[in-house]
Amino acid sequence: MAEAEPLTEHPHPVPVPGWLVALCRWFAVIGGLVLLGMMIMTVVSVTRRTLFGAPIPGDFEMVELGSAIAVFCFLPWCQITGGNVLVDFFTMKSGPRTNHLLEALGDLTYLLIGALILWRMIPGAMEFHDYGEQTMVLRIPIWWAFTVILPAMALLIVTIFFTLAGHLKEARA
Amino acid sequence: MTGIAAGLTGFAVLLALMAIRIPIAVSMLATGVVGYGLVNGWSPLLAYLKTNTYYQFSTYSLSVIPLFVLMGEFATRAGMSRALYRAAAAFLGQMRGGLAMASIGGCAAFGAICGSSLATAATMGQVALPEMRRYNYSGALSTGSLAAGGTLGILIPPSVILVLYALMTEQSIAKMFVAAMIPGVIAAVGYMIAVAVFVRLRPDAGPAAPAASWSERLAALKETWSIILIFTLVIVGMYRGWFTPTEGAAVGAFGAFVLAVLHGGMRLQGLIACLQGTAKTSAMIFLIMLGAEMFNAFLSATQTPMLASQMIVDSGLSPMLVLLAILLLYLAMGCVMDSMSMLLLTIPIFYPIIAGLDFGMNREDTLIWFGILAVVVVEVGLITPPVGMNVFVINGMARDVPMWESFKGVMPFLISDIIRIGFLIAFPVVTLGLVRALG
Amino acid sequence: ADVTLRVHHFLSADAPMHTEVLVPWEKAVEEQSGGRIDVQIFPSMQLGGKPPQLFDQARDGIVDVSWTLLGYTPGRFPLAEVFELPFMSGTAAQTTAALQQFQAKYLGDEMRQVHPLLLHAPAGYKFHMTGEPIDSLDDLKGKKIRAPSRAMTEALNALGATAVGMPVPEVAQALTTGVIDGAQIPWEVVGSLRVEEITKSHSEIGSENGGMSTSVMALVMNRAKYDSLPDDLKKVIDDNSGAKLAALAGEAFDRVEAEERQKYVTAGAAINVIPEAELQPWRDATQPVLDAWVKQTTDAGQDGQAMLDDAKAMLAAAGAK
Ligand code: NA
Ligand code: NA
Repeated sequence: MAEAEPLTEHPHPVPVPGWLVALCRWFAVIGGLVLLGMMIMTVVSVTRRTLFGAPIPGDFEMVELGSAIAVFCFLPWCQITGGNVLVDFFTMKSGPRTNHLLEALGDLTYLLIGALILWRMIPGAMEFHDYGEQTMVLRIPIWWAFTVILPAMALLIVTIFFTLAGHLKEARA
Repeated sequence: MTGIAAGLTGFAVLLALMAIRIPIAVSMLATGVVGYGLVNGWSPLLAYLKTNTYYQFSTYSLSVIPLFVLMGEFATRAGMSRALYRAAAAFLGQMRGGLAMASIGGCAAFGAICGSSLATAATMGQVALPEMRRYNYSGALSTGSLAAGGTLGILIPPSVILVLYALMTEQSIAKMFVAAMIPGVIAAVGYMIAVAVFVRLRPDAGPAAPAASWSERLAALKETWSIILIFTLVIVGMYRGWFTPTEGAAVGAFGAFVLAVLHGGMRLQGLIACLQGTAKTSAMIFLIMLGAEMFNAFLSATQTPMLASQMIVDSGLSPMLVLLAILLLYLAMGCVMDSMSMLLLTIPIFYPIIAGLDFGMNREDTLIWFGILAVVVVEVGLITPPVGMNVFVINGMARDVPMWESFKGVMPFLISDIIRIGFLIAFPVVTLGLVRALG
Repeated sequence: ADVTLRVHHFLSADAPMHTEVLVPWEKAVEEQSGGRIDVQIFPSMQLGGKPPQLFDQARDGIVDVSWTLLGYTPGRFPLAEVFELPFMSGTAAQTTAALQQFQAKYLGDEMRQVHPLLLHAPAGYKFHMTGEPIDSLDDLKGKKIRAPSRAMTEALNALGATAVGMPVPEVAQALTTGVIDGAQIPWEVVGSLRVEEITKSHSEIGSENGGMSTSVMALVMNRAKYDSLPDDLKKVIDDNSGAKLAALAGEAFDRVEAEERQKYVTAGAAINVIPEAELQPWRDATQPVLDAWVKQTTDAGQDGQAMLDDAKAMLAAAGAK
């Protein structure tokens, strides 16, 4: 998975600023550490449950919360590394310029939808805050997760903007 | 606009967007969001988007997916693909076509750890392709066997697609995994037979390699026992009740992590690379799931699934005919589309239809059986011309082999696939036997 | 039809709530409106989203009517939680009747964003265990039990068990595989989980078919949608909500509960009753959970103790012990 990339069914690579790549990488690593934390917590919980009949209280809800944080943190990295699969079949024979233009269109679509979702998630997060929604056992306020999720979503939007610009630049070249 | 017309329009737009290189997930999101707004109204749409993404990503049962992806990353880092291939080659290499068989065996074993066909093909390709070329295997046989072997990755549990299918149809993940075992083994054996036939017709395509000594064989086996132990622990533990699927994935990922550190010499840089790989694959999968959820929410609002299912029940077609039609559609779609997106998109429509038909089994058995059939058929799409993603990946690694030769190379495996699918359809007990025995 | 009402819930189409309450409601509303209201019920989250979103789906007009458990959004409906506290429930009919009064008196604010059609509760929850029965408080020690609510998580821990806060879809599998030793659910849910052979012993509290807790369920309608109806159609909805629907729902849940229980009795399942006389230690042990609710409610600026006493009185008036 790490070394060999499929050569087809993925967007063409485009130039993006180095700082953005670094930022996306850090978010991916943060999400990855959350995932590692979930892994270790679950292993400990299973072990405790098997040996002493006492799992870690709230293990399930921590997994749920952690899973959301991790996945949102992963999204910018997936975008900047061209990880979203696409159908290559009908445009295989088109020139690179056409394909960059089409991929720019794809990014524009993603940008609009992503921005729409981010815009709506802000009142969503505020409702979680205002209604005091919490996890069941540990009473962790749900809105806490959004302190990571919203910046990750914002970074995704910025990333899409730059890959869009990159595709346009390549299409003109 | 409501009803089937709206649903079909949605599908047409979706396919058009996908055809022009809009990422599959984005195409589904865009069609779903706009369709949802048109059918339900825009202000409900805006309200729906407030918390939906959060809830889709924070589902307990779905957290099994990034953990399995992480497990695959660690196992790769631990050098398990090489170890598994070497073990298989040590036993099979001295036969004609033996290295191709070892590739199949290695793919089957590595596929057991990894959840993805493309990743299995690509990872095993890096190990096995140079070996086969070194022993003068033909381009067709070496690329063909790896491309086909990669499709085993998704069938042999744990498998992300089987997890998704189980969740969508409210079946047990563990039972889906157990149901896939025997079809997976049959697939591997069938592919090996295909290799044997291939080298009988073309003896120079896969010359015999020197035989390994028994001490070499034992040494090769020793390299693999740890990963086999982890695999067994995960599957048996999941089925026998030591943990939930998510917990099993966490335990498996932890075991593979330990292996990667001890056996693969993984340090901080390697860990970060694994996390990045996991991030990319997991985000890709979750974005597709989000898109499929949005599209299916739109589709349900048009009532298309209910009406379509009603039409099929009223049409009086025989259940077997309906099943074959669905499988043929999958085969055709598999030629141009990523298998996971395809199942996420279509299972919500097809599973109520299948569950409502009488195949002489109870509902649960029917759905498990159909799930395995659907996954098998979708996987075949990965190696069918003109578009076979696995063939593309492997062919891309063997620069001197023309694409048509690789497609020629997968033909014997395709024939084996078709025979196997017929077998699975005719004898549901092959799929369900183990589930019943362990149930 | 002039008006279409889309009803959304997370249960399957063969759940008693769907067949015994929502479908009769659909028929009654359609018939009494002379066909001017068309009710469409979408089970299994068909219109998208996850169960915790259902309440807001009705509030925001994503659907017209939704049915859900208030406990799916912990912290959101703190007052309604009073009926999820230990020993604050009776039969479905009794708890539902008490809920009607409590809602009228106290829950106006928590329900202000929607037009509530019905708050109700199923029959009290029993212990369904995969191994040895719960005969006494000692038998609970160290048992991993899936708790139905936040209050019961605390209560079970106070009783010496290990409460597991597990999402509903995991419960059947977790019981099968021994991840948990048992679950606190009504008979009706045991039936729907299809875990007949797995749950071997069943313990009822206080009396035959008695339980020690329940969940508050809500059928709610979009407020603007209700307001937009002409008066005669509003009347149809009114005639089929509140107390009238409460009677129907209470009766249906108790009937299904008895039927499911009878299936197990017929099959010779091990059912034991922990007599009322032995429950005092249980009540004492779980008293801190009620105290915590009182304190939390008082801290929020209301008279928690009076509210709890009122809820108890309403339950007693409805016939619950
Ligand atoms: Na697998
Ligand atoms: Na194909």
